[in-house]
Formats: sequence, structure tokens, C-alpha cells
Amino acid sequence: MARDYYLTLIAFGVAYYFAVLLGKALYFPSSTFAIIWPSNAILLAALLMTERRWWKFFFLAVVPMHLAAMAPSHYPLWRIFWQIAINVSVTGGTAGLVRLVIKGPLDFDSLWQWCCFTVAGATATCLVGFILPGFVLSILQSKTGAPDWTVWRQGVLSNISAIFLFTPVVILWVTRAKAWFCAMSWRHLLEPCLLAIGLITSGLLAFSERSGVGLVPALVFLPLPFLIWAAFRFGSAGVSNALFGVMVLSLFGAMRGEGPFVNSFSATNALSMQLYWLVLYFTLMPVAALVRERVLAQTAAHRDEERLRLALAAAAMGTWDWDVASDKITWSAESQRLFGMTSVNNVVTRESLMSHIHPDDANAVLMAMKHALNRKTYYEQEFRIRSAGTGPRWISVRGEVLRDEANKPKRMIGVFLEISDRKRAEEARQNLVHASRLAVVGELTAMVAHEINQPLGAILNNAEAAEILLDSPQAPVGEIRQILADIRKDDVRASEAIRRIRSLLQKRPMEMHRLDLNETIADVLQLAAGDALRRRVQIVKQFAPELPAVRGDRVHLQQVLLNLLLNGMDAVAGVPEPKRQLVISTSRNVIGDLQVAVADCGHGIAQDKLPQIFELFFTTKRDGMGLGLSIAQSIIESHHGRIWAENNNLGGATFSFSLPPYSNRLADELTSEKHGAIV
Amino acid sequence: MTSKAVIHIIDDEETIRTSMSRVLNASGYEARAYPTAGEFLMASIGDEPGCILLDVRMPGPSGLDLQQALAKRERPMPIIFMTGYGDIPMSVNAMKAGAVDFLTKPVKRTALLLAIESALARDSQTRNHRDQMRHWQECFNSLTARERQVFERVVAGKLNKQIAAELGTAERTVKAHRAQVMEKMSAGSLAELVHISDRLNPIGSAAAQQRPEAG
Repeated sequence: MARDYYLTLIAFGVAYYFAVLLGKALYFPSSTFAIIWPSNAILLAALLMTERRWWKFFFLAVVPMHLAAMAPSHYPLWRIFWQIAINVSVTGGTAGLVRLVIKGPLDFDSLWQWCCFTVAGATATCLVGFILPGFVLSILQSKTGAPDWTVWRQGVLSNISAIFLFTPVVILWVTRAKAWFCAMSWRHLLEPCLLAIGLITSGLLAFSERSGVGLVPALVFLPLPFLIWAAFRFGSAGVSNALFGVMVLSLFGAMRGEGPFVNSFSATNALSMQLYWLVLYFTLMPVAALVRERVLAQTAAHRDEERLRLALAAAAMGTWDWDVASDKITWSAESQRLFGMTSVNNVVTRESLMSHIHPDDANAVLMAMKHALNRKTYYEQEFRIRSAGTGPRWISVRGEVLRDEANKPKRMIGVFLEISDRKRAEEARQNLVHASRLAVVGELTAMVAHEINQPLGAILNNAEAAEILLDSPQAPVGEIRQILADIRKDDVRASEAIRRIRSLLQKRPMEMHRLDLNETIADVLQLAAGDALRRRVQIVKQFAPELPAVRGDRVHLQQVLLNLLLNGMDAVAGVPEPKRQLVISTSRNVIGDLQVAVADCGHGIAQDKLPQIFELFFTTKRDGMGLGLSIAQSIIESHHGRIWAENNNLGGATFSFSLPPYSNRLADELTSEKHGAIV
Repeated sequence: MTSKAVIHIIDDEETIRTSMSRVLNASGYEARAYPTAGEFLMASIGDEPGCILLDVRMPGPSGLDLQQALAKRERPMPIIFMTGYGDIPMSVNAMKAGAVDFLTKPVKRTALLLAIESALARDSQTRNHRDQMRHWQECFNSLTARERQVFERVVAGKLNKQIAAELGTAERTVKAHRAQVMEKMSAGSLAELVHISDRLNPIGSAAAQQRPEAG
């Protein structure tokens, strides 16, 4: 890195030396200023291409080079140092101002960069103009103390011309030359060559009298078409190079006393030539920057479009655009493939599209669309389409409503995506979860007896008692009324039990609701009570009071709990009776999640089997399938929770799971995740 | 009041206790309900005729545990088991251990009353038997030491002469003792005395030792 900088410094020093020599050659015979001062342009370019901490080294390198180049001079030493100070101020000021605004590498391909550079250069040059040695001396030498504005103007224009016409060329060559030559083939070289030939020819015609055309001032416009060509085809790099060419040619002519500027090429004024260059600079550079910006934007847009097209194709996703007023839908080829439809000009009416949707889902789709149009802007729906093939094909549609100024829906655009595979997988998983739940419920052999027979027995007894009482001579109305109340109570209890059992037996997708965890567990314990009694297992509840709610599916969580309870009862089957206990506890852990633990006092889990215990088809039971715990894990994970097992210090194992507390924020996240999962 | 048979219901379900008590009270029994086996054991049970309606599955000591505990008592009350979920091995165990019946919930009144009737019949049988035994024991206890010696030898089939020789007394004295024994034991004949002796015998010497407690 540092070595690169030393090489750069040396290269810079050499370039600077020759630039000073060149500048000296461009002096007017009796003027204090060169028509253009290229060494400043070199210095500015170097500053703009390096980091600020290196600037001082460039400034230091300037001193010997400047002295060396100016050595055979009629100027006194203090005047040369003054010159050096001026050069440092102009370039340092310009570079400092530019770097205030533009942090990255400087190219002139955006209007903003060009403006910053131009304003910075003009500002620094004009201000430094006031401390030019010639200007200051003119004040000191004049008797009235009036400054010589000609000196100021000459100095400023000389520096400005160098900065504006020279610096971009240097910067662009240094930064881009490699890329230009690497990327160029002969075919690509043809156009710049033609342009160069045209430019040189027109320049020679315009700025030299030997061409035979004679002195025609209007010929200065001759290079203009080529400059514009450069601007439109090659951007700021083209224009700056072309401008540089024009400058060289016009200088070349003028130095030889030819061309349209000769008249003004007097000892006191090179104004018209400098103005000619600056007018071209101020006209063509912004045009080039604008053209370049436009091209870049178009390329970016095209690339985005291409990327989007590729992404959509890769995801087998089709797009659609529904014009609400005409009720017509423009859709992509992929969309048509998904629906198995063809359409003229990729336009289809909404009716014919709807007719391809499965009749059971069509209404839901319509309602969701209406809802999206009326209420919100976002639209999402899953539906089946009619298909000749086997099984239903599922499509997910997502869209957004675009509204006009009056907030009336104007268009709706979105994507179609086939999700049949996901649906099938979902259904298979649902079937598996359901089958596993049925297996769990099937294991609760004493559940129906305990939950249903008890209240039924009480009802029967009560009814029979009432019958006998009614037959007695003085029927005790009060007692019979009490009996009827009890019958009603037991009936409610029995139907509650049936509801509980039924809900466990039903097959249905997971639905998240706000749940009281303690209540959910109490329900499960009720279901398992009969079996706990039959197997003589004592279940001890240790519920933390006032737990926050969780977000979950009651039935699926109950399935998990039943699984853990049944496993626990199996584990303690060999334990002598008074100690045959399960402890089920709820608590909040350190990160605020709700935690449920089922602890048994059985033989524990072999340490080498602990990691496998939640794996599918892993079981330690003789007639186990190895489904229960793996499904429990998938249920808990879809609740954004965690489930784990560990051995207790005092024997036995504890199965625990944790769930995040219910919160609206979480609910939103989960919803958005669901959306994310669809696409 | 005293003539009513007392049915002890032991069930952890309150609704079952209440409803069953109602049926039994209405059917002319006196129902007493206990939520756990422990509470039944703690309760003072009188000598009235009765039986136990026992739920097999209860938290804490189960019905079978209670059955075992009661079997050790002086007067084992007949037990009718009830269960919401009957399985064969358990009912076999219960019946082997002396249960009168095994009912599955929900229990119909007719089945319940039938079971209770047969249990009460067995109870009264047991009670009669126990009363008889107690009577004989009391009679036996009223014998003097010499009379017992005579009693033992008489039922062993020894002649008065042999007894007199063994005891070193006169045959006439033995005769008088023998008449005394027959009277105190209210036995009409030798055969009856032997029968009483046989019934007492399994606990014969034991009963004599337990006398201070039994008396």
C-alpha cells in the first residue's frame, strides 16, 4: 500500500515537473500568466484520487519539482514560493470542498458530481485569485490602491481552464484506462477512432489556416457535432477527452499564429479562447452526465426487470394485474400455465378466470378480493383450481391494491404461486398428528369410563331415587327438586366430558388462540384422571398463579401434555405405590417464557438415548411407535416454543416445554411469517 | 331405627355418594357415605346389620386395600364392589377375597338392591353364626377348671371311670361335673356337646388364652 503511494508520488512528481514546463511554454510573451496552467490540474487530480492524509506528501513533493522546473527563471525565489503557495491553495481548496460533499471515488458520470466539482473549482479559484502575486503587487504598486482586475481575471481563467479541462481527463485516464483497454475489442474501437478522426479533422479545419479554407470564425463550431457525439455515446469520459483534443488543437493553432483566436491572441488577452473552452465545458459536460445517468438508470431498471423475471420463473410464480375499471386481468405466461389457460394478448376477463377456480373456493376468493378493495390494501388467499389431473391443485395468490388520488381502487397487482406440494405435505402432517392423537386418546382406556360413567351413574341413581320418592304418600318436593338440580348438573358434566373428548378426536388444522395454560392443563388432567386412578398414579399439580396467556392451539397442546403424562405414567409403573407420583408444574422462566414440566420418579432415560428421544420412530417402549414425542416437538416448535428432556438428580426424568407469552407483537410477527412461508 | 340395615357407601365421587344414598334411603335402608377408605376405618361402626358398597378405584387406599384391612376384623362386613371400569382380573381378585358382588357403574337400582339383599343375608348368617359362637364361648368360659377338665375328656370319648381315674376323683363326682357341664353348655346330648366342642376347637385353646380380651 505504502509502496504504491511512493510510486504514485514519484510518478506525480515527474508529471508535475513536465506540466510546469508545459505551462511555462504557454506563457504569453509579456504576461504573468500562462493561458492554461496544467501543473495545478495534475496536482488536483492527484489529491482527488488519494485519501486526505496523503495530501501533505503531494504538497511537499510540489516544492522541489516546482523549483526545479522554474529554475532558469527571471523570477526571484520568493515569487516562486508564492506561486507554489497559490497552487497549493487552489488545488487544496478545490479538493477539500469536493471532499466535503463527495466521499467516494469521483467520476463525472452524475450531474451532482459534476456540479460539486465545478462549483468547488470555481469557488477556490476565484478566492485564491485575490492573493495572486500579480494582483497583490498591482495593488501595492498602484498609487490609488486600485487593484488590477485584469490580472485577477487572467489568473482565475488560467487556473479554471486547467482545472476544468485537464483534471477530469487525468482522473478518468488514471482510473479507467485499464478498464477501457481490457474491455475494448477492435469492433468497439472503431467508433472512438472514427470520432477521433472526425474531431481532429474538424479541429484542423477550424483552428488552422493551412487547410485552405481560410479564416472563417464560424468554423469554431465545426468540432461541435463530434463533441455532442462524444457526449451521447461516451459520456463524460468521451467529452472530457474530446474537449482536451479541441483545446490542444486550438492552442496549437493559436501558438502558431493561426486560427480564429489569433486576433485576440495578444499579449494581454487570451480571453476568447478560454471562454470558448469553458462554454463548451459548461454545455457538454452536464449533457454527458445526464445522458450517462439516464443510461445507467435504464440499465439498472433492465437488470432489475431481468432479475425479477428470473426470480419469478425460478419460483414458478406468475404475475397478474387487474384493472378494476375494465375488470380485465393482464397476466404472465407462467400464470396462464398455472391455470392451464391461454389468452389473447395475455389479457383475460375476471369471469373466465373465476370460472377456473374450484366452485367451493370461488366465493371465498371473491369475498377476499372485495374485502381487499374496500378495507385494506393487502390481499392474500389460497384456493384450488379445477384441473383435469389427479387431486386438487392449490394456488396461493397475493396482491396489493393500488389506489388513485381519490383513494379509489384503480388496480390490483400480485402473483400466483402453486402450493399443491406444500398443501399435500401439510395434509400428511395433519393426518400424522391426528393419528398420533388418536393413539394417545386410545391409550386413555379409563377415560370414558371415568368421565362419562360417573355422571351417568349419578344421574341414574338420582332418577331412581326420585321415582321412589314420588311413589311415597307424601312426596318430599324439596328433595325431589334438589335431585333434579343434581341430575342437571351431572348431565352438564357428562356433556362437557364428551365435548372434551370429541375435540381431541377431531381432525383439524392448527388454530392459534389466546390460551390460559393452567386451564388447558387442568382440562387434560381431568381427562387423564381415570387412568391415573386405574394405574394408581398420583398426579401432583404445582401451578404458578397468575401466569400470562400463551398463543396456541388448545387441542394440539393438550395432545402434547397427554403424551407427556402417559409417558410419565408408563415410567412410574414399576415404582411402589405411595411413591408412584407425577409432578406437573407451570412456571415462568428467566426470559419470561411460560414453562411446563412433567417430572416422574421412574428409572430415568439412559444418557446415550437422551439426544435421540425426540427423533421420529425412536422409542424405548416395547410396543411404541416413536411418534408421540417427535410430534410433540413439531407441535411445540410450531408454537415457537422449545421442548426438552433431562434426568432428575433424585431419579426419574423431567420433560419440559416452554412457550412465549401471548403478545400482539408476536401475533403480528407470526402472521407475517405465515405470509412469508407462502411465497 | 335399629331394625334398618346400614349400608356404608365408600366412594370418592360426591355425586355418586349423594345419589346412591338417596336411592338406598328411599328403599328403606340407612345409608352412610364416606369419601375415603380411611374415613370409613376411622368411623365407629355399630353392631347393626349392614354391608359395604365400595368403589374400587379411589385415590389413596383403594377398595381392595380396604377389603384386606377389613378381613382381619372380628366381624367382616360383606362387601359389594362398584367400578366404573371393570376388568376381569380385578373382579376375580375381589371375589376370591370374599366380595359378595361386583357391580359396574352405572348401577341399576334392581341390581343394586338384589346385591344388597344377598349381602345382608350373608351378613345375618355371619352374625347368627358369630352370636352362636359367642354364646358357646361364654358358656365354656363359665365352666370351672375341674369342669373343663371333665369336658375335654368327655368329648374325647372317655368313660366316667377312666376320667375319674385320670383326675384321681370318685366316679360319682365326675358324673356330677359332667351333668354340670351339660347344663352350662346347654347341650342336650353327648353328640351335641361334641359338635359344640368341634366348633369351638379350632380356636379352642386359643379362645381360652384370648379370654381376657374376648371377655
